[in-house]
Amino acid sequence: MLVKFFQVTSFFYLIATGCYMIFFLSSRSIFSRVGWWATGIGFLIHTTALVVYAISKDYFPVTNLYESFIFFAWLLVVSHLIVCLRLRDGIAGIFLMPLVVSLMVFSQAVRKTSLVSLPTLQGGWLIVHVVSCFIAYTAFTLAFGFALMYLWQERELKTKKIDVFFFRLPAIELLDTLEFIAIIFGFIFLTVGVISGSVWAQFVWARFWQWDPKETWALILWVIYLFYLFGRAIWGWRGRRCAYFAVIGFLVMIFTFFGTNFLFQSTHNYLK
Amino acid sequence: MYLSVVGLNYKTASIDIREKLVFPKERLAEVYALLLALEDVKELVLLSTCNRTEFYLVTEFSINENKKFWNIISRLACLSWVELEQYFYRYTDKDAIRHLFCVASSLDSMVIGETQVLGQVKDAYFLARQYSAVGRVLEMVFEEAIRIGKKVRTETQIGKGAVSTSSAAIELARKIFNSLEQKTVMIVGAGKIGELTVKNLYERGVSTVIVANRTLKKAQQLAEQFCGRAIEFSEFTKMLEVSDIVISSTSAPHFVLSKEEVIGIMPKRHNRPLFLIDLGLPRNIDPRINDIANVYLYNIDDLKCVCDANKRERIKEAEKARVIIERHVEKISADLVGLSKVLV
Repeated sequence: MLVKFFQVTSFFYLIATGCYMIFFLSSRSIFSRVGWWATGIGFLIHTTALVVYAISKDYFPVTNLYESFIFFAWLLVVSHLIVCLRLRDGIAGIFLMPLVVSLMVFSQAVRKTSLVSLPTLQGGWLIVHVVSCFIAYTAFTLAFGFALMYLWQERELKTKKIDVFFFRLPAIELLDTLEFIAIIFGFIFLTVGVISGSVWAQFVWARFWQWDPKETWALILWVIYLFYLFGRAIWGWRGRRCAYFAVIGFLVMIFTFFGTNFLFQSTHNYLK
Repeated sequence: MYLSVVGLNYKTASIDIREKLVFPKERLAEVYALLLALEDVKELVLLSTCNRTEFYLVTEFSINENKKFWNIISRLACLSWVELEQYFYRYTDKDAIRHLFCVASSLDSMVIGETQVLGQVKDAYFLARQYSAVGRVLEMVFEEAIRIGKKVRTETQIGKGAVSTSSAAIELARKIFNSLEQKTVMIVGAGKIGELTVKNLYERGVSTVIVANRTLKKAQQLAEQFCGRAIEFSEFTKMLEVSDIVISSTSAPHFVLSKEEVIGIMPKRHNRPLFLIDLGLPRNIDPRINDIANVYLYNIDDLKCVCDANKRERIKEAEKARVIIERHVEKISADLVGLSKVLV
């Protein structure tokens, strides 16, 4: 039954994606508004379904790949709505919504192969760990999107070639700042996520750190963003170099998220 | 009954012809009196701007046959009809309506998408009403034209994108900096376009203006206009540290700003973006500076390219506008057929 709800949600997100695309190409503001409402309706169904799902299972639904995809998608939509309200511009939807739709589709694909929830995967620290990590992922995804827009806009300004993107993208200074804010935010939550994870590991396995592939990659991710923040704060980095870092960080993040589930044997493996 | 427009514009007549048929407000009373005195002229709106003079008429018989009307026009222009005829275009009914809609939507303007012409159409219409020259037909058509002019502006991107050098500079500044408030603009050399660009930036909220010029006196005069600060010309490289937008229009025969100087200044600016506009001819700023990260250099040709790209975009948007117009032409001509039955 709930699966149906998530499918309906995906449908609304798909409409939103289409609207944002058309808006981007045509600049007809009606499409931006329809996109916004479609996202909003999808979000309400999504939230309701998540809550019902959590109550029926009696745990926080982030214990396997299926659930975490749906939760990640939900967080991305939240971030889209926040950015949209703050900027009064649905521009972030152009890269967030396609991602959300793909996550929803993937979630259906891995539903059957996802593990049933394990007894080790419950408890307060775990929730803090997983939720913080996903908030960090969300922030890094946003930063990645802003970085891409920055790179595109910056290239147009440098090469002096103007096209449809030029009129739709925000100013590069704003994109640069938004990317920075998103990364600060993500870095804080990643730090919390890693620490709470090791605290929890101490409880369950009596070891803070066991050089599990995901732990290693999370550490690499953390170092990359640490570099980014140092670069900005101390070495005066700005603009394109920062944007490249945000892109690299995102790619490593994707690898951390997916790679450990599909490529390695890991305690963080949530597939059968 | 005929609805027609006769007139000439910048496409059909050069300025030496157009200027003979420009009617400033003071002469309108005379023209309206002359033309409305004609037996056949039921309604009239005269649209006279620097790019066009057009008579919108409602007549019983075709205006082409109306010798008296053309006599008056020739007399007003102080030219014989033989000389004048070649410059005039004439449209009737649907074509006349379509023409008016295109004019009001600025599709027929020299710069497509400009905003003035809609106001001029409105003014012409209201003045005609003052002379009691407007009846039900022109009322309907003109009010629809004004509505469509607005509609085209909101539903298409026809007015978007800068098409002049100084507005292109501002548009680019807005793509680099989110808001122009809290930004500092420095003008180096006191050229005319440079001054105009600074004026536009100042009106859009730039917080500080710095003027550098070879003669300090001139710099001070210019700085006063924008509550700005005048500095010695030799100091301007140092001031790059605090400037966000630099407009250069000196008549120097060589570069006044080298790549090395800008590379040196960027760390002091913490690599904040720097927008350089080189309006000089020969160029004032070393073009290689554009390769430096976070520095954006545009010269006069680059700005023209931006304008041309925007003009091409506007032409594309004009096609969308034509679709809107066509739809309304059909609608209003159907309404007019209904109306003329009532009037007859």
